[in-house]
Amino acid sequence: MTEVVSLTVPSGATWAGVVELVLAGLGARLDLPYDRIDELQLATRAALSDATGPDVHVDATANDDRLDVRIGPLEAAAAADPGRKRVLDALADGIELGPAEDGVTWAVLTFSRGGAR
Amino acid sequence: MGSADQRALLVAYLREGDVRARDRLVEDLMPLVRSLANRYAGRGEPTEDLVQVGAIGLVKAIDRFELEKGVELSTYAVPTIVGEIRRHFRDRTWAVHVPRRLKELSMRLSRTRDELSAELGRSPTIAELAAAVGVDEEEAIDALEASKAYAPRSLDQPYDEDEPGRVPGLADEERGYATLERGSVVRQGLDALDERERRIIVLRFLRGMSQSEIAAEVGISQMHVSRLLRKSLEVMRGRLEEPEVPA
Repeated sequence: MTEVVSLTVPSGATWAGVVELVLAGLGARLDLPYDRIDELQLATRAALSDATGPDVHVDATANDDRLDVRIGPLEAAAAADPGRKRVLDALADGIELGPAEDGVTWAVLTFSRGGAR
Repeated sequence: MGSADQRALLVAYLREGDVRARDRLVEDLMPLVRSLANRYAGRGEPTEDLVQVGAIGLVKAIDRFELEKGVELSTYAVPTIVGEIRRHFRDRTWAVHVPRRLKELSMRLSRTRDELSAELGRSPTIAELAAAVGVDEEEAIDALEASKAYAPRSLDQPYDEDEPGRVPGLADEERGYATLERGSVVRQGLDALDERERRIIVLRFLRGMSQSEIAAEVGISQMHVSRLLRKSLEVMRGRLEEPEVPA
């Protein structure tokens, strides 16, 4: 079963905590181990810090055994920075970082129940 | 062990590099560490954590001991051990007001998390943590989030401002750090961190160790690793966003 939770919050660190709290709840419902939830939050915060524009959108898609979190719009430079990609790569089980068809840069972070870390 | 025996072990370690001699000294002086840690018990930190950080202080004291000074090792070590314990408290103060009940639950969850990780051989889920401490999942999440208000020490404070010794075990990670191209974006970010933060970042992102593995390696709790990772990424990001100063 797939369920989607969508959030739109103002850009900025103040609201990142709200997004993290919601994702922690989703991660708990998927029975992700606590350290995966922690890194989900860490990766989300890292991606949110590249948000551009007044608002940032977060779509969390909960599947049976994994959570996909789509975050954007992000600064285009974020996708070109190997350092940022490395951080997200290390934290998430899968990432996609780059422009979508509409030209807007998004990050999609995947966290699986059986993830390696 | 008498002071003559201790001195012989200090000579074996400091002059001949006999690490087993240092281990014996640590073992011999652990009751002192425990006694000092007990003085700080009941202030919100698990005593065993205080013993662990005190032991780090003891190792530092042994490493820096000067045989020529003619003082007893235990006398020399006390300020270093106490300094390490006090630093631990400075590192872990609540940054915002958090209700006492939540603080206590957060600390129980932290302990339970470490216990369950050891028992299960993996990180526990929120449901397992909540069941173990007898709260519902939402309460557990609240308390775990609250624990993030437990601030690492101030960003501009050096790792070891009054004790210039290096972080134990840093050398291996420094080798990984040195492989990063000087001037590269990642290297610039890492340069903004203190030694312990840099070590944790290198272990996590260059060596791919999990938070739990890093916690075991560095001798701190997983939650502390998480907090330091969080803070370090923010510091690195801040450094990268600083405007370049023209040469």
